Amino acid sequence: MSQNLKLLTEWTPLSYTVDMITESKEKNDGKIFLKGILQKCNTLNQNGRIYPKSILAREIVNYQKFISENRALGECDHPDSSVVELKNVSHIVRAADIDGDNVVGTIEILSTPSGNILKSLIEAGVTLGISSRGVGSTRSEGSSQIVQDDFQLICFDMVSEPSTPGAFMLREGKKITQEELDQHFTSTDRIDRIFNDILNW
Amino acid sequence: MSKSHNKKRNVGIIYELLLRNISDSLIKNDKYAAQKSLKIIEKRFDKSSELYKEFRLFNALVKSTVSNSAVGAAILTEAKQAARRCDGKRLNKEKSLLIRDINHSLKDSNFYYRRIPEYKIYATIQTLLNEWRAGDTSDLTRVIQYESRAVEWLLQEKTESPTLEGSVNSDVDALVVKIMTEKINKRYGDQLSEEQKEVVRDYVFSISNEKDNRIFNRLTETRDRILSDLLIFEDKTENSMILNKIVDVRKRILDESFHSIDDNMVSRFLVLIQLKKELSKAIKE
Repeated sequence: MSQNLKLLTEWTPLSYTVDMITESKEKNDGKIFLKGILQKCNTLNQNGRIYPKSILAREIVNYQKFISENRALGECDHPDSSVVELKNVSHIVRAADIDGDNVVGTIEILSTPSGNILKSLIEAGVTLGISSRGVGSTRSEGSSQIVQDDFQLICFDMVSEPSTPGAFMLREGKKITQEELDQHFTSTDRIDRIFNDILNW
Repeated sequence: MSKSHNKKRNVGIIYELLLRNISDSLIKNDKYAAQKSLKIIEKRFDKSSELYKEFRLFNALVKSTVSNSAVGAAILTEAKQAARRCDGKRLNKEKSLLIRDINHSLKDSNFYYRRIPEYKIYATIQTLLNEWRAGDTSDLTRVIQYESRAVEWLLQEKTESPTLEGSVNSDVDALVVKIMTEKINKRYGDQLSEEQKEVVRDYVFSISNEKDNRIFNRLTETRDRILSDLLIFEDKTENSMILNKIVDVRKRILDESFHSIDDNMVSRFLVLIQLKKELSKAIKE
């Protein structure tokens, strides 16, 4: 494992209307499900980074284990950590897939304290974004940074719109140790990741 | 005491042969037979057994490397004392039971005839262990001769394995080593574990010297170990996602043939070594 893993976060606007929220609640016994683009591949993002599609596609395959085990949790706002704190959990990712150059998915807002805050914001029509949280290294290529093969997706958080491009860079870049990563990825997560590699040969 | 080496009573050889039997059975898609060998290992190499103690001692002598003959001699002294602490009578009985299990349970006429690449040193180490345990009745001439060979072996490993650059000898084209080292470093940076680096080193030697079959031996050994660990892990884990994939993963690993060992195969084995490490941790948890 590389010793230069850093926390990397990316913001993607989440498109929804109040009508869509009302419809979702009617269809799902009051639960809010949001569908949309979670992240973009091969595109220069607001932080000046590009995620190659092969890397994000691989991470979405690895993320399926979290989804199927109901562990694909996310927080309201980005913490400065690679660990998802249960007390801050606001939503759960129910589906994630690659569609062209987009990672698309479905998110269910939970009835947790943080989830209820999120619900109120959504119902009020506040502009929110979805933000991936992961660890990895980057390599400079011209004026952009290319995310490298050691990237590991941790979760998707719900965040407010950054005031300026690169706003989240102030909070990220923290070095992550293997011990911190091991708090998030279990032994079977790591084995599953290797299995996916082997099955992709 | 018998003065000839008996491979059926060589703890290292028998363990290797059981691993080979597991992988051969899996290649033939005979999981039942593989399980039988695995059960024998679990039962007879139990941590409380004398057989397990001897196996650990054997492994330490076969796998260790030392920097000089004084350290080698000191290790042999320690090993000698450890060997003498073994309960020889119980050990012999356990070996007889192990042989009986293999003969009765596996019914594999080829079992004892599979090739063990490091047969000579395995035989030397086992003979030494036997002689050490014999105490006053040991054959001193033979002990001196074999101890000398064992020290040579310990030293030999050391002189060949510290770094890729340091491994260049008359058989190896230094340029090939340099190119391969740069290539591997560029691709993996500081991510390689010691065991992964050893695979790369053996690969470089195999490119430079076609007669050098260390890479073949290492890959075979790694594959056999993983297949055996996968079986144990399959029994232990309840994770449905893992269980759904394990058969296909095993098949992919079994499909690895070593007829032509190239960069891609070595890359895949670096992944397998990572799997071996994770499986080993998971099994112990």
